[in-house]
Amino acid sequence: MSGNLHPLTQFLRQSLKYFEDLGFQIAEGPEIETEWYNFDALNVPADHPSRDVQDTFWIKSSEKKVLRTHTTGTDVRFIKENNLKPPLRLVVPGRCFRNEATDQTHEHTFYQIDGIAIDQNLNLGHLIGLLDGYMKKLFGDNIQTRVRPHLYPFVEPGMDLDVKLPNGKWREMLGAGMAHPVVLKNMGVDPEKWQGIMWGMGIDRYMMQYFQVDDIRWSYSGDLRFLKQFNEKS
Amino acid sequence: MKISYNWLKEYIDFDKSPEELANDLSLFGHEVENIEKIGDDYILDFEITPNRGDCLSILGMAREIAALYNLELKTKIYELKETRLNKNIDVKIENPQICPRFTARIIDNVEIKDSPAYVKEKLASYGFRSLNNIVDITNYAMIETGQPLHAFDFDKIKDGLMGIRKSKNGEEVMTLDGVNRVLPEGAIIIEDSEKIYDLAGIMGGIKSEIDEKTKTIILQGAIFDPVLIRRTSKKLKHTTDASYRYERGVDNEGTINGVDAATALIQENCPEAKAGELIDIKSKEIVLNKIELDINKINHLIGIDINETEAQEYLERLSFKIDNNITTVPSFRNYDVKIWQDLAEEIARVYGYNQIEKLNIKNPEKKTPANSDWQKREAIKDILVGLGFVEIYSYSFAEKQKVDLLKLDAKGCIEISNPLSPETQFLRPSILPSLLAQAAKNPWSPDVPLFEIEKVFENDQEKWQLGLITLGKSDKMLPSALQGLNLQVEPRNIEQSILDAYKIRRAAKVVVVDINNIEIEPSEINYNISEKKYKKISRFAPSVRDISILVDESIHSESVKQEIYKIDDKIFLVELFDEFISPKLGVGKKNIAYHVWLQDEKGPVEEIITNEIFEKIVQTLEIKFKAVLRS
Repeated sequence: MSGNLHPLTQFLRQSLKYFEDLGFQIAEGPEIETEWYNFDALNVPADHPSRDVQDTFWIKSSEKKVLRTHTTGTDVRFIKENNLKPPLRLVVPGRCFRNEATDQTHEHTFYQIDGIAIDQNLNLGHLIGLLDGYMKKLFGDNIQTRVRPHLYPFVEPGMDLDVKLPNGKWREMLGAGMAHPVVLKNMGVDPEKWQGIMWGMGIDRYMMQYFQVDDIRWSYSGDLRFLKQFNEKS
Repeated sequence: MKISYNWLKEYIDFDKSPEELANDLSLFGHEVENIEKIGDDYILDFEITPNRGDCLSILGMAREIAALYNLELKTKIYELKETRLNKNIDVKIENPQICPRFTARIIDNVEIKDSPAYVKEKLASYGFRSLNNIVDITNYAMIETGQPLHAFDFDKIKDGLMGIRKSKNGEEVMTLDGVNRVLPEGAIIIEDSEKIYDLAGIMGGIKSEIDEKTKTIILQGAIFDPVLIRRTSKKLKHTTDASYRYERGVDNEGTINGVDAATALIQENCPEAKAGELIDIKSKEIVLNKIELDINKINHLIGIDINETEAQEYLERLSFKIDNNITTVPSFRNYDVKIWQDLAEEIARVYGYNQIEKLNIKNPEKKTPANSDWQKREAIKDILVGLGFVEIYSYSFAEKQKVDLLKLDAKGCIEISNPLSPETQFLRPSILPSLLAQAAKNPWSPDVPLFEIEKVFENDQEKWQLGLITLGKSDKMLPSALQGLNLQVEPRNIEQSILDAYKIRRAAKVVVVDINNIEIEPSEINYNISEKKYKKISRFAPSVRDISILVDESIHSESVKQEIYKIDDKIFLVELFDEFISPKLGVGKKNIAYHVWLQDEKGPVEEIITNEIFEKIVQTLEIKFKAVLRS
């Protein structure tokens, strides 16, 4: 009798493969993160509404710690702790948390794949090309993408990327942009010399779209009726 | 943020349908979530990012449209009749930081009455309740200009004194919603010699409220410190249309326009009213950001090739001023545009993000360094799946009650300080509670062999752990799994009291081991992804039955499986669980056995239906494969 890899594992592996083949090293970090790495290092101001966008689980402890709301903070931590110098390429998968009620389309637990590449000549065009290539690899060459300006405090310029669904509507897939000079500095990188491309994407929804799953909560249900559906042979 | 399509046309002539406008503005950075038709108007509901406080108005959005389509903005000029009144106010600002600009006008001889129909209608489409003409007009003018406005009853304020200062902890003010608010330190309040009568920037106070007897008003349009407004609003858990705008930044140079817009409406609505002269106090001069425009840097960051003239034109469309490569930011963008990378985004917006050429990033010169921790965990998953185990993902949380039941170290448990429910109050110190909870979800499954590899948390530390669980006779799969992972551990038999608590009706065996304690040889990761699409799961319990048949050795168990699937759409899952050859079966024969899961979206699958389907399966397999039913 054959077992089953969870569909999220299957999807994560596919995604990471795309970036690994382009030279991105898999980097990981803690799920309990300091407030500094999760927010401050990413240029998210303490007294600004942009901190409201993410509902955060706070840890009861002396130091201000959170369950990370994204793996973006891990980019900074990994580069700092390992004293990495550019040029560099990292892809950062991991479990993240938002303190919100769960329903068919919302989960307090989810997986993100964040990434960063720093080099002298990487620009917004490279970022768009990289992410467009990812969508084509995962969802097929015919998938159409578009980008829109958007605010994320850790990037400037910032953007969202959408894909066109079969029904003709656009669906927002991820946020990305050029690393903000403050964030580069926090990584110990000179923003006058180097440019960084960054993105973050939520894998749970991609997995749902790929397998046409109707409820985000199935992933964490432990129900074999769900888990046994996605074996390799079709 | 709602914006009326028709109202925008008062500021700009554009020739686009609401849908076209919504699409174009989405690509310009202002995502439209919904378009609602109200009468002959359309209300566009925007998601305005927190840095764009300047777009929270008709005027602000019209400015963006003007830049987007390169059109002229029709600014309104208000022709007001001003009267020298013998009434005055005495504004005392404790600290310029809290109120850098204070603009107001006293309006005498107003008549408090119902609002005109068009004001009521517009406000209703924005979700405001109509109160009276004066309050409605301040809301109306705020929606239009973005300047929060407030009207005080002049006669309720002693000596016209408007003392603006930070509150002390514990001071109180009763706001217009009838709530007596105990203030934290650092709220902005307005007082006279007798009382605090306004919670500035958030909500007016009852003690200076407009009522049907009001004759004279103070119409105020001020700038308050965004940080103080935000802190107070958060502490009081009270957000208003005014505080929402203030904390995102209100245009320092827009106060007069806001006050004038409201004054004009009041004069139109109350012809007898006399508007006093403008009061405008700049307690702190605004310093506009100046940024050097270096086109080479901008081209290099975005990946485009435009010249300085083009860049200048783009920025000027957005109301930036350029003089000798020095860009001056317009006052309404001063909170948000500070560095040259911000200018780059502005230029890219006008250029069009989708006009930027997509580039390939060059392949790396060296091989990508492997992450051995990640590879090890994935290799363990592949080994276990190869041995028949099913991977689960479960939450990182554990309930206190279960932690105690399982005699885990409750003291070392990490606690969440703001859980939404008891289920997320503690982080799991072990993967054990998750394994039991998820195994319990499958009472109908003949085999339950599960595993998870995830983080667990204890004493401020986190580590990767592997957990394996089997129910009932699936425990025969455990020895090969342990052997596959080179583990010398004795599986734990879960005590009956724990099984009862989890409502597990079979024996359970578990193995919990830290990933650091597993040693395996490195191996290639399986990168295949299933091509199957999700099949909808019924909310009713499935019915599972086994079928065991004797067929020719040459027949593939997979073909039989596919044939079974075709028989009835209630057949949800067909799992091969046994396949063997034995001399007892006869020469060239083999035994194959399947679990067949049936489900019905409309209700439980009845016994009689199950029997019918199984008869059909047997008949079909007899015909197609000359199968002989064994059990």
